Amino acid sequence: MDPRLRTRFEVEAIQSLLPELSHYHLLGLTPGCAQDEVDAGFRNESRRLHPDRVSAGASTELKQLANEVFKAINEAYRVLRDPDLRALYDQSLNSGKGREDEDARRTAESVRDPSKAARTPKGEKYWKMALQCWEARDFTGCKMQIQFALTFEPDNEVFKDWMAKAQMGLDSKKKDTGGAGNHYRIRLT
Amino acid sequence: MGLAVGIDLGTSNSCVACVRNGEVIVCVDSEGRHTQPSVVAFGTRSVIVGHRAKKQLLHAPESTVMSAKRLIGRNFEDAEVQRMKARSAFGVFRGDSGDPRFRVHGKAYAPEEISGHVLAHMKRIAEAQLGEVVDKAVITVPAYFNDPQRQATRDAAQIAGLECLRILNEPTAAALAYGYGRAQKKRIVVYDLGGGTFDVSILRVDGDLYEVIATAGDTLLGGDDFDNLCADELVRMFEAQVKQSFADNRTVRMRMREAAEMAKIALSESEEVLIDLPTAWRTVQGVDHAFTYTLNRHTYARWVLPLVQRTLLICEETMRSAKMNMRHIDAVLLVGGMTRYPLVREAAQHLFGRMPDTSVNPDEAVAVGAAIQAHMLTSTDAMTSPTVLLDVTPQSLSIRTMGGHCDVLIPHNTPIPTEQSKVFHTAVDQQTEVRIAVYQGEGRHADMNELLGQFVLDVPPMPRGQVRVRVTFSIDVDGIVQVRAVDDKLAKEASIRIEARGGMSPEEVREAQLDTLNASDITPA
Repeated sequence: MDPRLRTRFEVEAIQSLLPELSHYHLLGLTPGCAQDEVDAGFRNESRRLHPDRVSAGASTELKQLANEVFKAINEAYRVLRDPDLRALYDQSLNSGKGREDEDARRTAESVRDPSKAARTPKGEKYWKMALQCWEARDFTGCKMQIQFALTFEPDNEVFKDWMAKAQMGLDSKKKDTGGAGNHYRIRLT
Repeated sequence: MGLAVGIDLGTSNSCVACVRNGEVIVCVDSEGRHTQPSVVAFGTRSVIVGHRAKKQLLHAPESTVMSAKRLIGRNFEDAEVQRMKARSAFGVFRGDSGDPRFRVHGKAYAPEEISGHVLAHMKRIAEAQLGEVVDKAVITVPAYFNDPQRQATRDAAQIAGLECLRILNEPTAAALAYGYGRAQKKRIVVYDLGGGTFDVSILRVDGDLYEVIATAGDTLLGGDDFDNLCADELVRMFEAQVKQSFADNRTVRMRMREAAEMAKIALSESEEVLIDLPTAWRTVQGVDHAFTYTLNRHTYARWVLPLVQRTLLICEETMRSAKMNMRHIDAVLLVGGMTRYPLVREAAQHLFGRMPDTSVNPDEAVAVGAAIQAHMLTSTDAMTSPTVLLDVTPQSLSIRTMGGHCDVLIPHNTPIPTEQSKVFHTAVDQQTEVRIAVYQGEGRHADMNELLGQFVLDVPPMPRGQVRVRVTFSIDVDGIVQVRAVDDKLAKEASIRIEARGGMSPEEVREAQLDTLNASDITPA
């Protein structure tokens, strides 16, 4: 694949997941990594995701997304490169860990079986339709149904993951048909 | 679609370059010159820019504007504006938004318009050489430029009919020109002493990644200051010689300044220079008084040493904030016309303990770097080498708190783009607006810093402390500041108004736009 196109997908996927990604995720690191790995992580991600990598011929919207992603990467680096700030951040990560573990367990379960991801009856209704659309490779419809499902379960991580997946599917499809696809787009907020 | 170029919009001279078929071309004018004076001369009907404009400086100083970059984005009350007003033969007055304007032949021009003319001239030179329309540019500014100066430079681009792809810092551009195409891992210092400004940047270059670690500078320290200082000394000597004060005589001062600039250039090559002005001063009665003086390097060094020392102090400070010492540095680049002067070279060499790298041309490196960046931002060719520049914000962004102190939100040397937010509460019952004054600079007190703007949040009247507004301050890749506000409770965008923002209004900029496609009012060089 054209590396620029790949960067484009990555930017869109990461942007939609920004609220969930930890500073470590953003720099491709694991919590507890050595301090000098932080610099390397930041440089690797900068090379990959700097807004200028997608700039040529990109829409204003995509540039905006790339900027948001890179601001988050810069913020992650600002915190993790400073041992004091990093210690504080680690603390805050750990204090929220109990809840996160529960979420992670559930998420892991629903990754194996996405049909179990919904937690409310109304959410489930739209979620099922979304998965049907996915089977039929109707990514626009899939995104729309997920969007509806999200209005009932705004914090559902699996929904958001699939939203990004659907977007990537949509983009690759758009590419296949020479870009003459449906331009309908939903942005997660 | 037109071509994209890189333009080094200098205080004294400008340069334009372009990448074509994988090669960087520094554009030359019809006489083969690589740089053009950033001088604009207004005739009664036409506008002349560049070398021909500079020639007019002596016989029509009242209609020839130079060094507009020193005033761009500043307030009229700024000390530098007042100095320029006192020195210049053309009028400088206060515009409606509090910014300086020039008056030439009864017409008012903002510094952005002067820079716009210079940019349009560079655009035409590039078009003449490349044989294609140029409509996009990466434009460089001193790294230490603040937000209003960057915004005004963007406006100048619009006036010149150029889409500004990026506002790029000059030392970063020079580093790119130096490093492009060499696979290397180095720490470099860029010492950039130009016509009007001084910058120093420390970068880590790792193959295709250019990371600015720290930067600092002085936007009022350059060749202009060397010339003014030398001219002051020459005027003083002449005054003693003819027993006459020239404090108000602009013509004598202009001649001395011209002589000072030529003497500086001559002293770059030789040990001494004879300054010989047969008509340094013509009395009202028409009697000519001559001025002759032999200036040597030693005397000149004594005069300008304080300026050189200032640059060294800034370098040392920057090394400290980068947490580095001279042993960490692998290469020193000297850019800007003033670094041709032996005293400056020697001082930099001494400070950093190594010979400066001579592989980049000090007059062209910035434009070359800008051209490479312009190419990367526009080329959709998958083969284009994906170089990434990581720059920092040169000055801290803060808000005024009670007692006039500054609360820093984004410290200097923070990598950009970046954003930080802060929650504001209402302090009084039924308060309907919250005022936020945003400053840029390193002073601990607001008065010592540059006011970027006053933002007013309109909030619903409620008991005090009930309204919480989250204000987000962001700095984009151009180094331009944006402020937006969200009402935390209502989770909706809060209204934010900006007061006290100087410079040209968007309408003014549109009106000032030059007809660069059909430039009948502009004489090409």
